[in-house]
Amino acid sequence: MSSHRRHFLDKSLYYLFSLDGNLEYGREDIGFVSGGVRINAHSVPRDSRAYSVVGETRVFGEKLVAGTMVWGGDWAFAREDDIELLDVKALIRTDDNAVVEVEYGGVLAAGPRSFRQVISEKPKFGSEQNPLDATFYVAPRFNSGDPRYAWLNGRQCLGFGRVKFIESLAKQATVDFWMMD
Amino acid sequence: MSKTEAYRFTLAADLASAVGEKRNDYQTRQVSGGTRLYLQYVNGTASVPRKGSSATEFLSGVMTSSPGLEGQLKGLDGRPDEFYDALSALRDQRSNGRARSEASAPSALDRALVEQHEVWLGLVGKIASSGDWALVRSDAVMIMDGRFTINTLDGSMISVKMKGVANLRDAYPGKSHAEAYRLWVEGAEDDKNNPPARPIPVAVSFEFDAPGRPGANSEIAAKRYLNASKFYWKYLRLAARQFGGRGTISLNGTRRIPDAGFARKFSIDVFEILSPPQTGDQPADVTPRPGGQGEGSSAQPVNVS
Repeated sequence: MSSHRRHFLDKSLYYLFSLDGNLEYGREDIGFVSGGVRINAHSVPRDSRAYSVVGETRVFGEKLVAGTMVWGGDWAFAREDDIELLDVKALIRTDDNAVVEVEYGGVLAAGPRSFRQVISEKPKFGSEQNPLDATFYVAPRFNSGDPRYAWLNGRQCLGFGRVKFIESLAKQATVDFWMMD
Repeated sequence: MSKTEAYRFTLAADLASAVGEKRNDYQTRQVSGGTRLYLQYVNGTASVPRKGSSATEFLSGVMTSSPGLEGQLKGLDGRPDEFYDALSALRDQRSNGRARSEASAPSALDRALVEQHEVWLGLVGKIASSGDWALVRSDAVMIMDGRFTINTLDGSMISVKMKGVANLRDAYPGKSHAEAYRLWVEGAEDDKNNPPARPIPVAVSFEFDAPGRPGANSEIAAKRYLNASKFYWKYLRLAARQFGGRGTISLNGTRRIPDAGFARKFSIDVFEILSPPQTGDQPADVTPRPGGQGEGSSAQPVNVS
């Protein structure tokens, strides 16, 4: 058998846009399910924003997404092994009136014994003065019927985000989306 | 032929746009394979109707206006005495007031019926949040892909994923798949003399996430999580069994805008898919239990409204 590769395949990451979600609007505690706790969190309609942190508006000549998240939710599953699985769907209406679908799964690993701390709330983590930032990683895909954003449809992307906890509740999430090429 | 499903409850809602209703937006909803709709279920309810065939089915075998007949009803024989005692108590309660499924604070009797006799108490609540990224394919088949949460009357939250199919050809009798899709995409101008303002059939499958047992976590869990699972015993079946649904989507042939401009409302009866009886011709939804069967039993529940 031939020897394996000694080099990485070519890869590039291109910044797409960032998304801030305000999660205060709706929290639905489903409760204990097999293996953990199910929680549905919904963003505040029209109070969450897609934008560029670097001011760029195009990548490869294509228009980047900037607009308002009009609908979004995370059907999250906090597992007993201290890993939270994210299951997010969201809709962005861009400033130029297109609709872009956002869909991703991901992982938030808050560390050892975090599940116990989440469900016991002893002690509660994060405060107004000192929120707790937890990191999450996601693998989004985007979809749009609008020709101006159709270039996104075939792209697998990555996202690096932070969620802010206050009094043990997720209040705000922010994520940077990157396109793989 | 053995019965393979049992009615559980009915979902009904109006359909609205999840992204706001803008006119002349259809051309921007053309995605691979068809047209995307972004829907929300508003004014949505989960309930057991008091009238109609579904209600009749729900109540059959248990509720009777003739005292003392329960044990003679098909499928209800062979149960322990306490079962009939409990049914009698239920009948008394029902004659005095509300249906069991509408009780905001289930009783110990309710719990005994569910846990010991696998009685299904019904489900009453409101749809608290929702979204559906439906795709109307170019062959005129509408694929529903909905998520919503039911906030039950007792305060439980039940998360639901619903996938379903409706054929828009049912709205355009005599048209081919392609013609039906074209008429729908191009709008009511083309069919104003024959608007599809009628309900068309839809069939769906469900995946429920319902509160479960806190188990060992109950010793450390914060109140919010314990409250969420307070009545878990009522809904264990939802996460442990397979459910499907049949119903209708009501269309509006005069739509000029995407999303809710076309599909106005839906109503779906939810059924539990039953395991086939192991022996004999016993009806599957009221299989007599030999006694002592717990969760995971093949015995099927009895409906009690």
